[in-house]
Amino acid sequence: MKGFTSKLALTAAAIAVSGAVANAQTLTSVATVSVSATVTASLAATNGGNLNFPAVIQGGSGSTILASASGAGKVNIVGANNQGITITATTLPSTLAGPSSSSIGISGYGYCYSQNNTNTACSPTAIASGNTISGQALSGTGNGYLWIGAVLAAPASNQTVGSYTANMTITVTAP
Amino acid sequence: MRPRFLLFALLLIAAPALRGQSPPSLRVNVLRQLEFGSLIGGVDATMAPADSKATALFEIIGPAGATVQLVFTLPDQISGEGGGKVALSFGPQSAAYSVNESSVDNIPFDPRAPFSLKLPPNGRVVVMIGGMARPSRQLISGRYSGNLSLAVTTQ
Repeated sequence: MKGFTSKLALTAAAIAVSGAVANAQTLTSVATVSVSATVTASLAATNGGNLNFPAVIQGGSGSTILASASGAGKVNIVGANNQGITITATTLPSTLAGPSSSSIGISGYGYCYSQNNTNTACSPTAIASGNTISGQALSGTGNGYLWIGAVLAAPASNQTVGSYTANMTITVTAP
Repeated sequence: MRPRFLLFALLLIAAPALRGQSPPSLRVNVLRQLEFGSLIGGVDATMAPADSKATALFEIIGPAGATVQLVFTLPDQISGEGGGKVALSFGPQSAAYSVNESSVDNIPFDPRAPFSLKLPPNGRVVVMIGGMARPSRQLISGRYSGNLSLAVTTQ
């Protein structure tokens, strides 16, 4: 009986010591969450240069600037690296407006597109207002360049002297 | 027989006491993930811990009155399928805690350093964290993700 009482005492003491350790221990818990976002790549087209025809003479010849020429109109495009793009010739005017409601015709648009900032090796492709250029992509550094050329009609012999202008609108989208 | 009876009786007496001495526990539960939503390349997006329903929410449940230390493991970027990265940053008020899970009583703190707080009488605190995402202009469209962890330790 004496031996049993000793075992019982030892058991009780062990329980008490165990409880004390539990109260003093450091508790740690860790949880992890996901962090997410959906990114839409940016895309911007800016005017890289206007299409400026040289002066023409009343009753004289018209003027042509090819898209591969240095005087071609230019659009700079920037976006994500290797981003696929679609270019739309939203508005290519058929006339330029001059003084006193006069106008002069413009037609024969052509374009060059390149991932490099040079158009000299390009063979221009014809394009009309409203046409789209699909299947193009920006460069590995996210750049693209579009050049546009056109043919200015021959001015009439009584063409009003002055400056004639119009706007072209080019829209670039990511397909 | 008598010693066995005595042992049985002692165990019956001890049982309730043993149940009452169950070791204290500490848990961190995830209530909500951190979702920055739709971002546009080149446009930074900042999410304060309490001004959105898309910040991450953690629930800490531990011993009432215990002081606990919070340590975040913060990602500096999240990754997309194409290998692109969206940079993340966190500021001195990117995290906050609330004893009532309310946007009114939350107390901001800096998640970049260990932070200690005392658990209220009910032993429950809600911790929220936002941050800033900086998608570069060069990123490809798509989904970007990563992980953020919170470790809580009693002191």
